[in-house]
Amino acid sequence: MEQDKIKELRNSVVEAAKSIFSKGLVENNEGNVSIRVGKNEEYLITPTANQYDTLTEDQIVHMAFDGTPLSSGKLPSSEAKLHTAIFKSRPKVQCVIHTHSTFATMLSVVRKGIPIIMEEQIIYLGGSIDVSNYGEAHTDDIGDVALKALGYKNGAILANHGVIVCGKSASNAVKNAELVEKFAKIYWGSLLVGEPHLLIEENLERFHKMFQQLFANCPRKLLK
Amino acid sequence: MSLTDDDQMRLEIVNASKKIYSRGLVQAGEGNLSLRIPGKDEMFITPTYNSYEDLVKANIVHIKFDGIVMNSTRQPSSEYRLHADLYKARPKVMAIIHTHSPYATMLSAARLKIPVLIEEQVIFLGGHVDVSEFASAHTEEFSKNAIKGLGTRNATLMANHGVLACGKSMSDTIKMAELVEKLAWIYYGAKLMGGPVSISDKSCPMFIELFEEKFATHENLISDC
Repeated sequence: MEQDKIKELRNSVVEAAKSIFSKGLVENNEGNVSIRVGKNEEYLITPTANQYDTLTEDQIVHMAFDGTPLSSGKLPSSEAKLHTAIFKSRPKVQCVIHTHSTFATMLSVVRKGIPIIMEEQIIYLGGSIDVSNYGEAHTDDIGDVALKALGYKNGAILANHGVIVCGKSASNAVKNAELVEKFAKIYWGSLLVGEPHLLIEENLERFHKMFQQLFANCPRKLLK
Repeated sequence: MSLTDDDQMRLEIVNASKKIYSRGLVQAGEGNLSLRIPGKDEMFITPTYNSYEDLVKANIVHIKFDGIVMNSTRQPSSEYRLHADLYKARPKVMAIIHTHSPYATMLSAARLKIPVLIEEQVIFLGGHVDVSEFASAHTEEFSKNAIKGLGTRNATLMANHGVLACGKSMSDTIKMAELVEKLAWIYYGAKLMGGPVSISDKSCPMFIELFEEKFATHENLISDC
């Protein structure tokens, strides 16, 4: 792939990273953003010890899915395996984002998923946001447990860890990361203030269709 | 020490102060930050009545661990002793931050320690965040209890007071102070929902190595987390 295109994608990684930082979804040294490079088995990812406020495009690391570095620069995120697992099993995914956003992480340590409380949740994310089994970061295990929790959907909570989202574009993935945190906050608050009412599945078919047409990025066989 | 180094360290404290202020970890008049002067029993520390918005390099106080002010237009933070005692106890510590960040201070008043909730916590802080025993501020006992609360880790809650965080650099220590507040918020929220599942047994052995390699400031080998 020509260098101009790679440069453009590096910029997109920086832009998405700064966006989630400014929205308070990550702090320095945590979380990561990656973007697939064309049809090659390659991707660009934020570096380890990432400082979002001073991140520049030359710090973004170019990697092959098998872990071979394709550019110099800082070492890739130690959670690279989480990203490659999703890129490999979901060819439509262009961007993967991992955060430790606060309310979603609260749910992750209590191991509570977010049931369907809003229609918007189905359109963008595909439905409920489930909690993975506990898998330790930095191992192959984390990729497997994340994929299982994602199912056909675009976001999941990682037990005692944080959030994983993916999207057909960087802006979709940023939106999904933001939404998971927002629904986590709403669900948490609704649990404390009373008892959340869940939406009734039989009225939701058209929202599931919207999800499938607009934002679903899993292999077709996984869709209901 | 050259004037440039001196200036550089003052600037680093000013920048770090503004950063933790902008992240809501401190308010005017509370908390303090310091940097050890390498190879000497001296440090730079924020002034007493620190107004973070207006803080400039000239306000930073150069002080010896024994309390003698070397060069400053301002009085040192009244908690300089806590900083000096921690530098003396832990030679690897190069920077210290003390805050009254709200969620962590809530837990400190309720005397609730933060168990190991996420892996990141083990890597940066070395495990759980303890609550040190109460002692009156500015006393020898205050320092002693806080250092005991740290154990082999990089942060502690101080009973009915706030947070103490330390690290091998100022940027590491900012991360520690931010992380304690975030964990306190997560623990608070999780407790209200019914209580978190701790992962100390599973995660500690795996991530303590990373902690030891990158961020640990204590002298002893870790026995638990």
